[in-house]
Amino acid sequence: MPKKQSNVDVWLGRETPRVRKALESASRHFGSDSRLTVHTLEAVYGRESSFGTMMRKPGSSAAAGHFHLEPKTARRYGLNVSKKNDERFDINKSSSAAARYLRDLDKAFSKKTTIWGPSKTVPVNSASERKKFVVGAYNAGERHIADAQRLAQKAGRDPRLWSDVQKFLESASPKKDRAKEKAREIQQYVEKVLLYEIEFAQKSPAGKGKTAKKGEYRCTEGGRWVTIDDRPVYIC
Amino acid sequence: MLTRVGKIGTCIVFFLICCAVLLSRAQSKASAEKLLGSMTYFTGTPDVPKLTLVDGSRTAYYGRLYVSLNMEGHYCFGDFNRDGLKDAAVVISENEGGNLDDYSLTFLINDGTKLVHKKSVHLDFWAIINSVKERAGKVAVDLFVHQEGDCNAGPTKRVKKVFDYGNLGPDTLVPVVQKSEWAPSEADLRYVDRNQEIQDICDTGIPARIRKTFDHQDDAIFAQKFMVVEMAPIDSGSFQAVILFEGTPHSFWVGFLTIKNECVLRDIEELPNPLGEMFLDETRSLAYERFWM
Repeated sequence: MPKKQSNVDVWLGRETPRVRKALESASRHFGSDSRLTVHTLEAVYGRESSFGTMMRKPGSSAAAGHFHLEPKTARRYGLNVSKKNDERFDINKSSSAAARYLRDLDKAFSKKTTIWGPSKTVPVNSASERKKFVVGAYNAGERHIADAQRLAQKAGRDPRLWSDVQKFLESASPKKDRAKEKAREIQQYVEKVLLYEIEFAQKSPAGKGKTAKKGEYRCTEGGRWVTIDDRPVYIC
Repeated sequence: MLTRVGKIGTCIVFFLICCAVLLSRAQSKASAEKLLGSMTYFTGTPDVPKLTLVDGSRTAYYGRLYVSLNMEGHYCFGDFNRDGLKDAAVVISENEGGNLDDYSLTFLINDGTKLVHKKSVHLDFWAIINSVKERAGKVAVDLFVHQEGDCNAGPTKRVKKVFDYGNLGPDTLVPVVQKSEWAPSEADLRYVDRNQEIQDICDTGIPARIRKTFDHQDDAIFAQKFMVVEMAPIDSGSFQAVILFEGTPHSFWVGFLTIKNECVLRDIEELPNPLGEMFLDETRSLAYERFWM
């Protein structure tokens, strides 16, 4: 019986040289003090649009395009968003915007940043731990993650550890009726993107020639086994 | 011969009836979308508890945050609360940051004079809606939802859900009007998508024509880059605009005449109040770079 291909294998089959070049070029926006790499971008790209195979309609007022960006986010990074010309569907521009958005979220969680009223981020010094907050904020917005940090701190937990903060995602949701679904979605998103990132780091030719920073894909604390795409995977 | 003419005549009449039916359907669809796309919907977040849509969409910005509601054209009408009046059910997507779009079915109940948003049910995040139909006083939604392995933009599990307004279940949103302690005040909220507004102004080609006019002026200020932040016609061919020159917080009111497709500068005067700091910050951001002429 042929072995089932993982999602990452399928996506790598879709990664044309042009796409790879766009992702590599966009990943240059990441600062040297973050743990964001071209593989983070590949993982987000896969999770968001399955490497550009599901992108929704141009000009949509909801999330669309290669990196499934909201029109407001896309415009903030200089992209045109209209029915005639929607640059969220341009791999070079959308990957650059997504990389800059991730970089800015990384900055927001590396120092105390006021989001709104009492919503302030708690700085996460460990770059690999911070990446979980950044990916979570890409999905749910920085306010939701910052509020979960605040609630974790209030409850005597460590607001700099994702494993502690993720337990407060539900109570931090402004929409109480569907807080559970939203919290579950954010947790799964972070878990999967980081798993995909590890797999991309092992298999992807993108960023070839660059060596991983020391400890980049290693657990800084205790990990656990989970089943993703019918395969056992050890995650941090 | 007469029979042939008769047949052609019948075909023409049939064709005209079909056209009339299609036209009236298109008109009623347009008027329904106009009505539902300008309704007030509750958001479920206490920060901005409700938003009135404009052309099916609305975003309220406050600081670096926003709440956005969009109606993407899926709706149906029917008597959902069994009171003999025609109600509506509309699919709305909501975003409060990140890219997590929450799709829900909202029930707009007819109170005798108007439709009022009473309840919502969550459909899925990034759902793809195929159809929304009324079936015996209930709402049948045909949609794609996510299953294991789906990317966010592409749910693949097709489901048909039937919602009975009188029995919606525990995940129903019943709108709450009270605001949270840190909810933005009306003064904090901005409803206009400035970026889109300025894009629309640029698309008219008038800012490029103003640039040409300014290039022929002697004063040094006209050599500076500018952005047209507001524009309005005065009378046939003439228009007025509010212009922001790069590097200054003050805006200028300018009046133009249009003669043979050429802009002629008629008046210019500095406006007394500087533009808001928040807006000035926005104009200096990358998102506005393309609007500087």
